[in-house]
Amino acid sequence: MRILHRVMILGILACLLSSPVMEANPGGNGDGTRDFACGGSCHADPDVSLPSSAVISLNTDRESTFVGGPLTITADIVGMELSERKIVGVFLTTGTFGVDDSPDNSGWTIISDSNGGSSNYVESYVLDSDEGISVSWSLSAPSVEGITTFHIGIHHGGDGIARLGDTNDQGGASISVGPIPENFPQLLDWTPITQRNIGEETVLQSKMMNVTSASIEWKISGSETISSIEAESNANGWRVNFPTALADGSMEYRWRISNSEFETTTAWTTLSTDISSSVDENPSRLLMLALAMITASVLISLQRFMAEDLISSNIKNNPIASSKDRVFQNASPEINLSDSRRPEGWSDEQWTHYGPDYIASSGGDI
Amino acid sequence: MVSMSVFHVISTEMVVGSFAIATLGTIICSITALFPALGERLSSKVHSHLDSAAYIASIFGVLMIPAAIVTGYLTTESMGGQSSMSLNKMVFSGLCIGFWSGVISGRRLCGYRLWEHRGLTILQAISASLGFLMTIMLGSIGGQLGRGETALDLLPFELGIYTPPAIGVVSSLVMFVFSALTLGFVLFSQPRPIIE
Repeated sequence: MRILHRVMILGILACLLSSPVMEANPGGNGDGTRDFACGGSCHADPDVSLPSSAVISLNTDRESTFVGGPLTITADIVGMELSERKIVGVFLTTGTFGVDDSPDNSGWTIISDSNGGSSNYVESYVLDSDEGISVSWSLSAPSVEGITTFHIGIHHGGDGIARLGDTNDQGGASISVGPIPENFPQLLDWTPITQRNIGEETVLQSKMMNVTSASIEWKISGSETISSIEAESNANGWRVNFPTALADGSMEYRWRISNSEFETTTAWTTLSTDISSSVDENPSRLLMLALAMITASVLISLQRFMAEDLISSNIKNNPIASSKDRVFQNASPEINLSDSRRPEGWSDEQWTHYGPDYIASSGGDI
Repeated sequence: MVSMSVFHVISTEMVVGSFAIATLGTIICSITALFPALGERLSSKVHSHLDSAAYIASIFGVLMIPAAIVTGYLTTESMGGQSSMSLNKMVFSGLCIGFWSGVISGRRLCGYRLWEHRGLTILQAISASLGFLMTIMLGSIGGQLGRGETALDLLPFELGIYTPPAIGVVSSLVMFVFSALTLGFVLFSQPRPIIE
């Protein structure tokens, strides 16, 4: 009976101790294709969650597109509470009912997201809720005509509780998908590049139809300044050499294609340069150790070389020797280590350093 | 639960505080040693105490650097992985350790008599100043990573702290071996003068 009691107490203790570990996913779930219901047990349960204070602004680069056509959706989110981990998860959905509401269920294809992937749910770190976060998706329209209403949902923490917000009250953004106009310029077999390595030249190439002029427009993410590079036509289609990335970060680009009748752009595609995925940390570690050792070597070598002067007493110009009240170790031949005025307990070094001051303060001469 | 970033803040503040004391002490000792007119205004006791404070503070600071590196690394991991700036932090950490090791080595080699030699005094002042500059750069990168801004943004020129070191494994390995051999040669082959 006593053993049973102990087992029960140990079991209860184990449950109590393990409870923080089983507490939801405060560190996030990672990017992925998810319905808005994901995480709903924590973020949507009124007993364990609160509404988010975030202000969500949903913008699209066009109000209508055509079958297979482009669309860019941007969500600017500010004013959210932040947890200690400062993670905010953002959903792009085609509804807020929570089930089967990711855009792929409505036939849309996500070409790229802000993190360089192709997920409708992305997680980002927000350092300052006043500055907030901007998330964008580049999409390709479904093969059937119709109207789709997009929504943004957010999951995050703050003040020790899970929080949820969405654009349901705003009504979302409705996009109509129509037929492709005749002679409309289009890209064929276009697979956007969304990731690249530092120092690597990026070549964008695509076959096109009904196109007489093509260029790539690009901008640094978060910037409004747009630059343009003219594409060259060759046997394999249209080609552009993209500027090399010098540091990690992300930029957005799109094709601008035209003919005598139409001019159109593709959706903004995010091109991320993530050093953690492309560059090994080991060279930096080795470099750190090498720099530490080489710097120390040079300094130690110089010090040993110059310190020879101190041994040979070959110091031609000893600036501090002229200080009238300064006495250095072994620099004062006058002080006698066996002086009877030396206080009991003073070491030789103390006596050498402080002895003259001590004798002077007690009115004696060295 | 206390997050790793809190421990990183504690360790870095101790590093920065120690090096600030060490730099201040070293600079004052150097100036008073190099300029006798100024040196006469400082009593030998104050000079001696500043020298000791700088020595102890630099030792403490160097001992705390590994703690700052480890907590910083774990903090970066929890914030989503390494970035170019955290790689730059590694490089600046190496230089920081090198310069401050030099400061400690010089003081340990020569003792208080270091300030009797003009060349050694200048070398000590330069080493401490560059070491502290590296410390400031490290703090600046940390501020950029943690808060998205740093006081060094006020400078009218780019510090180059956002561009990662473009070096491969082979090059860095060669540098590492060369540095290790150089350090070994200096420590074990170059005669070490005994200063009394």
